[in-house]
This record gives sequence, C-alpha cells and structure tokens, in this order.
Amino acid sequence: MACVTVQLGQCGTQLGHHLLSILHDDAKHSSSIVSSNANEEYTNASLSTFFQEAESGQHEARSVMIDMEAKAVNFALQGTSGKGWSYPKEGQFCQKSGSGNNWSYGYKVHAPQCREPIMDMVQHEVEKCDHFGGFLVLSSLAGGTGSGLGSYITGSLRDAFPHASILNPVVCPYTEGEVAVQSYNALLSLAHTCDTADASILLHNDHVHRICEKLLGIKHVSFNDVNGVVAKQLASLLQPVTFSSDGNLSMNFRNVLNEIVYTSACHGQYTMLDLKSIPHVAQASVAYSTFSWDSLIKRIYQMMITDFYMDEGLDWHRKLSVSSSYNTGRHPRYVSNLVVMRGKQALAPPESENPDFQNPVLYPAWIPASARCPIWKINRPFEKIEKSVALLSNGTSCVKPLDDVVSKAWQMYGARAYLHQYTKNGMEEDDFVNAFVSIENVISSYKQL
Amino acid sequence: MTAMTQSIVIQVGQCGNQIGCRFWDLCLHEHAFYNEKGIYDDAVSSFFRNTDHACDIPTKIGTNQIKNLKARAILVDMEEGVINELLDGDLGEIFDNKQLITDVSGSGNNWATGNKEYGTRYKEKILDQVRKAAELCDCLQCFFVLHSMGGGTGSGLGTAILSLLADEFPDVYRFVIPVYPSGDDDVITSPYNSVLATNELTEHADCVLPINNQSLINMCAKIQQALPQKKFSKSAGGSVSSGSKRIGSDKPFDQMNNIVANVMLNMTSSARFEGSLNVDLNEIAMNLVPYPKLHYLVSSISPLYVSKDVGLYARRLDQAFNDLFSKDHQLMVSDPQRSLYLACALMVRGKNVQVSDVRHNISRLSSNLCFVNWNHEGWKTGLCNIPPVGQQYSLLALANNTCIRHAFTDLRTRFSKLYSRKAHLHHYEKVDGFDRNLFSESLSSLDNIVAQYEELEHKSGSGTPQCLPRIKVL
Repeated sequence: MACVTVQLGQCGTQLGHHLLSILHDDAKHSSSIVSSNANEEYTNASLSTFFQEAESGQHEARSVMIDMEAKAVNFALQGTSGKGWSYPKEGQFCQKSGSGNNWSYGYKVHAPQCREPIMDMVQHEVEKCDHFGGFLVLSSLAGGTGSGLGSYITGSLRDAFPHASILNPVVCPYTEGEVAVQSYNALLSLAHTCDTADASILLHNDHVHRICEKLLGIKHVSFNDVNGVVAKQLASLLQPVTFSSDGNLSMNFRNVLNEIVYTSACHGQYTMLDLKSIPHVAQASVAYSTFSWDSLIKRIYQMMITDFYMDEGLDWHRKLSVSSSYNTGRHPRYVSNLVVMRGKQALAPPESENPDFQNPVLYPAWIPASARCPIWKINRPFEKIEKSVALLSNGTSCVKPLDDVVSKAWQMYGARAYLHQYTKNGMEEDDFVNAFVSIENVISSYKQL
Repeated sequence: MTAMTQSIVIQVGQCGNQIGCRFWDLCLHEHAFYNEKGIYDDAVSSFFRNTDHACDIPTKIGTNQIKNLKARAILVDMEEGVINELLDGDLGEIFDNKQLITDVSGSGNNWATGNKEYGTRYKEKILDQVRKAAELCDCLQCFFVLHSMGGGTGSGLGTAILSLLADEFPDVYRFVIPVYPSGDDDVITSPYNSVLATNELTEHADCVLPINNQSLINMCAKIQQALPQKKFSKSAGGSVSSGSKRIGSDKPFDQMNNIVANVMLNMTSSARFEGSLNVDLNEIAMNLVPYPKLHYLVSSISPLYVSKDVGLYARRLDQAFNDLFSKDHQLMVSDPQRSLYLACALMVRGKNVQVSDVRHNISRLSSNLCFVNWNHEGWKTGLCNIPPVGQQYSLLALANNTCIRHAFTDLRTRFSKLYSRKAHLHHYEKVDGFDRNLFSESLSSLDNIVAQYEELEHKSGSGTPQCLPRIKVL
C-alpha cells in the first residue's frame, strides 16, 4: 500500500528528509533477530510503501516537496547523494520568494497561484502507486508556507481524493519564540486542517528538545538532532506491522495509514493525536543497552497515564483509581490509544504483569472495550534497537497545547496586533473569529471526555 | 532551479553613499571569501549582477563563472564629490555609470530643496534607473535605502525616492536605514529636516532601522579601548566592524560606517546563505511590525571586536548575547532594557551556533526584558551557517521597542526650539511645491507615533494582566 509523502515548507522538507532516510535505512538493514524471509518481507513492504523502485534499481521516494523558496529543498536534494535513494525528478515545487511567516500570504496569495502545478505533481505521484494508500503531509505550524499554503493544499488533497487517508504530522514550535506570530499561524492552520485531514499528530519541539538533552545527552541541540528524533518516532509508527498474532511467517501487512486513521481517528471531531515512543538511546550506547518488554511496557503505560513525553522523570506515584467512571481531571482521558511493539519476541513476550491499557477509567463509556487500545506487534526490530514501543494517543494530551495557542492568539487578537499583516492579503476578521471558535470547540470536546 | 531573491540598494547623499561604499566593500569581500570557485551563484546574485565586459548583457544565475560583477545599486547625490571619490577608488568597477544620478549644486541642507525641487526634477530619471535595475532581477524582494536625516539631499531626495518606490513597486519591501543627527550636530536645520523626513518614513517605509551618529562614535571608542594600541601586534584581535583584513581604516567615518554595513550584511545573510532556520526579509517585516506605523526597529550588533582567544568560545557566546541587549551596543542611543519590547528579531550567524544555544540565551535574557503582554514570546530567531569573514559568529538584534519614543521626543524638542521662533522657515517655504503645513503635519505624525508607543507602555506593559475573556462554546 503506497503512501505519498508531502513535504511542505522548510520544516516539512527537512523533517520529511530525515523521515525518508530513516525509513529507507531501517528497511534495508537486515536484523539477525528474525529470519531472512521475515527481513525480506519487511524490507519490501516498507520500501514499496514509501519508495518506488525506478528502472535503474534505485529507490525514489514517493514524495512531493513544496516550498516557496528553494534553499531547504535544494539542501534535501543534495542530501541524498550516496544514500541509496533519491527524490523523483519532477517532484519538487519551488517559488522564488517565501511566505514571510504570514499564514494569509501562504493561504490567500501563494496557494491559489500554485495549486494547479502542485496538484499535478501530486496526481503524477499518486498514479505511480499500484495501490494508493493515502497521504502523509508534513509541515510546521509556525511559519507561512507549511502552515498557510499547507492548509490550503491539504484542503485540495481532500477535495481531489475524498476517500484517501490524510495523516498530518505537524510541528508545534518552541513555546518561547521561533516566530512572533506563531500563535496566529498555528491557530489558523489547526482550524483548517481539523476539518480536512483525517488526523493531525502534534509534535512538540519543546519535548523533543528535552529528549535530546536528557536522554541522548546532546549538549548543543540542533534542528538536525530534533528532526532526527521526530523522524524516528514517526518511522517507528509507520513501518510495517503484521496482521497475524501467532508469529506466522507469512504475514500480510496493514495499510498503515488507513489503519492508523481507522483506529485512532474515526470519531468525528476528535482528530488531534499525540505520539510517544521509547527507548531513546544515543547511537553510541545502542550496543550496550539491554531491554525488556516488562520494563518498556510498564514505562509506556506510565507515560500514558501521566501523559508525559519521556520515560525519564516519570511520576511513578500516580496510579489510576479503580472505580471512577467519569473524568476526575486527575488523569488523562482518551478516545483511543494504539500501541506498536517492535522487536525480539514482541509477538509473544514473556509472561509478566501486563498493565491494563484498556482500563475503563481512561476512556468514555461510549468507546467499546475492543476499540480502546489495539496493540500491534512485529518481531522484526526497528532500527537495530532490540525492542521498542510507540504509543499513538487520541485524547486530552492535545488540550494544553491547543489551549496555549488559543490563549496567546486571543490576547494578540484583542490588542489587534499584526492584524493588518493578515488582512492586507484578503483575510477578514471573521476568519480569525471562526478559527477561534473551531479550536475552542475542539478543546471543549476533549475536555468533556 | 532559481531560488533566491534580489535586493537593490539605493544610496542617497553624502552619508548614504559613504555607508553604501562600506557595505559594498564588505559584501564583495564576503562573497569572494566564500565563493572559492568564482561561480555566479544565487548568493552572489542577491546583490550583484554578472555581466560580460564587452557588453552589458547580464548572465544567468547558475554555474557560470563570475566575469564582471556589477552592484545592484543606484547612487544618488546632488554634489559630485563623494560619488566621484567612490568611483576613483577600488570599488569603482562595480558601479555602472548609468546607475549614478548626480548634480552639482547640493541641497543646502534643505529638505524642501532635496524633496521638492530635486525630487521633481529627477523623478523620471530615478524611476527609469530603478525600473531598469528591477528588470535585471529575477525576483526583486527588497529595496534598501540609505541616507542621513539631518541634511538636504539624503533626507529630502531620499524620502522622495522612497515615496516613488512605494507607488511604483508596492509589493517590494522598503527597508530604510536613516542616520539621525546627534544633538550637537552642526547643521542648524537638522531637526527640521529630520522631522520632515521622519514623516515620510512613517508613511512609506515598511521597516526603518534608525541609526544615530553618537552611538556609532561611542561604539568605535569602545573598540579602540578594547584593542591594544599596536595595529599589527600578534595578540591583537581585529575590529569586526572593519573585517579582518582591514584593521584601522584611515578614513574618518569608515569604522562607523562599517558597523552599519555589518548590520545590513547580517540582516541579509539568511537570504544569501543557507542555515537551519532561514529568515527572509519579508519575515522580518512580518514579525516585527504589529501596527503599521510602528515600524521603527532599534538594531544592535555583537561582538564588536574579535579576540584571538578561541578557547573562550562558549563563555564568549553568552557574553555576546548579553552585550547585544546592553545599551552600549545599540546603534540608536537608547536603552531597550528599560522600555517595552513589542517584538524582537535575533539573527545569528555562525558555523557552530545551534538552536539550543539561541534558546538557552533567550531564556536567560528574557527575564531581564519586558515584552508587551500580548507578545511574551515575541521573538523571531534566525540561524545562518555562514559567519562573517574572520569571525566565528555574529549576532544581530532588531528590536521594536518603545524606547525609540525618547529619541523622537528629543528630536521634537530640538525641532520646537527652532520652530517656536520660526527660525529659517523661509528657506523651506520659498521652495516651489513646499507647503508650510508640512511642518505641522510632520510634527503631528511624530507626536502620534510617540503617543502610540507611550500608550502601549501604559496599557500593555508586561506586568499588565490580560482581561479579555475567551470565547465560550457549549
């Protein structure tokens, strides 16, 4: 099931580049933990999803890169030399001048002008797929192109491909400024894509930065490091997983994008997802690290019930109370969770006290028990890490970040700051008000879980 | 694929041309340093066009060799002295004769002469040159206009040109770098000229980076103090303002003008070189201007001089960040730490400076800085991989800060001293096209800006609580 990656703006381009690299390298790497058959099937499944084998034998990414100025795109193109894969020749769209961090410029000025050639490029890429499975749309929220043009293009994708799955990992900027108008841009983007994308995965620069510092021991964290970690988390979610739960070697692989959307985001207004994964190990330490499913599962469970993004600094004292059937506000609530286990003996981990991922305390009553927290497994490890686990949650994790965005944007709006920069491109104040209402609605829905 | 955008520099009057000269020198030096193969690439094309010696046909951006670079510049002066000197010097070759617009008699330190008389007389010629220069650009993003405020040509004709640009090229950003006179300026009518010109800047510029001569003098004094007396001592660092190979330029204003040139270089570095967090000029205009007329940005640069003591890198970087916000490093006499920030851009150039270094310092410094209550995180950060020649890193801050109102208030005081006595007004009024109401209009405009900044300080200081209730949904 092929999936087209749409890389929007500088962030989308850079992150997408890391992601494709990791997907490719992981797919190519042969693990000694599973049979060569299993390796081969995994490799084929992964590569055929995100890449296409060109006549030359080289793998070309199923990707469309879009940016209003070409520096980041050029950098990515150069970054594939000697890597064993490359970007398709006609798959990049650039203009000469960026969007100036202005959502309205990206949405109202650039997007309508560029829509046709971009959609042609996308159509071309989709046609190359034997079985088209959906779009992975990568962008940031803070800027002008990824956020503004990106929102418009996501809408166009939805119009042109009404039945395709659209998964939209978005990067939330550092709370303490990368861009002064980031709250406006984030608000406007989220308000639009919550209607058009099937699901958005909110990725937080702040969190990933801490992971780099604390868990990977990087002193001077760079965007390269941050993108590396985010890409790894996404890849650990998107790589193949099996249907069968009995270790049977002949496996059918799921259409990951469709399955994710179906599992995690099939309930109308609940489309904001959160991604956690462990372990995060510095390259140099991988060979010396040992992992146990017992430890990993317990940690990811504790991360789930405390809604914390790392396994270091976890509050182990917090436990779920046995009998509350309503939201006491003391623990997160979820519409769904998805656990993905990759690695040695994942399909049949040694018996141990398994935490209750389906604990009814975490979910509203209208979610059937079987749908609360599917667990996907595959024996083949991810990225040479013997055992790893990812958790994709749809729940109250998004409330605080959304609330922060709305709160800041609202104060700015109240002071009428920067409005002229948006209205001069054809936006109206009503557009802002509508966006506020949309997101307040999303926040409210989640709070009522 | 073509990528980058181009900018055109319009330098007007004696001061504008002298600054411009330093800018072109450092810019050429920078590109020559980093462009070893001499390929005419996107970076170079942002400020230069490549032409064949024989005829003036520009070559396309790409993989061609640099043959003969011409600056994307228009030089205007109503006296010939400065421009002639420029052409006679090393830089003469990068300017095309057709890009020069000169006259002989000067403007007599009279804004009205510069703006109305010469503005009208040379309007077509100037527009013609600008149009031609614009046509030679693949994608023109920005005009930089350089001039002083106290005189007649830079101030008057400079702002007339600004107004023309606003009409003819409304979508191209207009960044103005005006040099305001110090309090003890020897041109008596400089307050008049400055106020009249400021009105124009408020109306027609997208961003203004005001510079004050006194600040530059102070900064140069600081550099002199910090460096050992011997020019060629091995342990000496270099004044970064003059570039590593040009220690101790002997022209009087050179060192001062180099500082301004460095601001321009830093500001445009992201547009010219790659980095992990690019900042384009349109992003600066977007993030730093929350209200259309409040577009005055106080700039500061750090470090001012380079020490050869490389071992102190990390501590030095933190210190450089500290210095950036101290009043000694501001190019306009002001103390932003005592006033309110509306927004602040932080542009960092350097090979080893990462986002975490920037974040760590922003965190650290934020507690000493007051941001307006609706923009607590009003930072715009940029990271460019390529440092200036001879330095490991360079930091530039562009702050939209209410402290600028003090500079304007001082200016107003000096203006009033003259105006209340109606001193020298007849010089202005006798110029054809000058309406005496312009004085009061310009003053109003200035007062209005000062009032807006003041209001923000009172109503939206960072300690002020937010009182706007959120939208309630069911």
